[in-house]
Amino acid sequence: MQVERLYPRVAAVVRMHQPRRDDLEDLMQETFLKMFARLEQYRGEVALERWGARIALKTCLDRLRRQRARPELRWSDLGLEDQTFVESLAEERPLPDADAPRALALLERLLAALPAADAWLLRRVELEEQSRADVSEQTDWSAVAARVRLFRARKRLRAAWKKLEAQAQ
Amino acid sequence: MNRYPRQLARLLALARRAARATSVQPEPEPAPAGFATRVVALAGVGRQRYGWLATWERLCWWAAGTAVMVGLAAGLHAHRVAQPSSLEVLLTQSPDPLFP
Repeated sequence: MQVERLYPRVAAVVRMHQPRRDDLEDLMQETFLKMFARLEQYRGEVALERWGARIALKTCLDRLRRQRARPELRWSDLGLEDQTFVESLAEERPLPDADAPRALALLERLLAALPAADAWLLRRVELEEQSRADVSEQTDWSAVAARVRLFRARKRLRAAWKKLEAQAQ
Repeated sequence: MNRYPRQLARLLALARRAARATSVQPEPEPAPAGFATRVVALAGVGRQRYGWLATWERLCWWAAGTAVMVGLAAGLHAHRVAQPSSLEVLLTQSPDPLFP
């Protein structure tokens, strides 16, 4: 059956892009229902799995857009170790690999305070090192739309960081 | 061009290292038991409901169109009835032409 054949690919996409408060099964069901509804539009230009993966990603992005951001991260929200770590970023010495998980956790907290769609985009580009072209291809955004969205997302991340830094001083 | 302030750029670089280290290809997971049946059933219900809705909508448009036509015809007829005939006008407005 096609549903069983497509499930692993669609589930992998949904797991990777799933909004934090959404249920996997609920998202999977919505994705497959959309696929059924749009089956007449499928022209066979791309493989069915890829078409399904694209619908899954769009479903996740729609949910992300509806999600509200968490309150902004404040200096006082950080533990003493995190505060020391942030201060150490200003030093010239190279940062040890041991600090990498802490950096990732801190970045995730910063991203959680941004609009969820911005956070999604920054994770793809800044953490997974995907190109803008990759993102455009996955999302069907035009090259210009991807560039504008990324520009705005980066601006918001910079603003969040500057606020945090200002509170540290 | 520096997209980020230096400290944030360093944080990102370090976070990227952690992300690379933790990224693993997820194991392909099979569909849970009954998932396919449930989805197919739901899709069928959705389609049926859509079919009923479409029929109902078409019916409503026909009814609205008919109501407008009947209303117009009735209005026109009432207007005609309200107009007195020339004989009525003659009898009511002028003195009796035969026995003045």
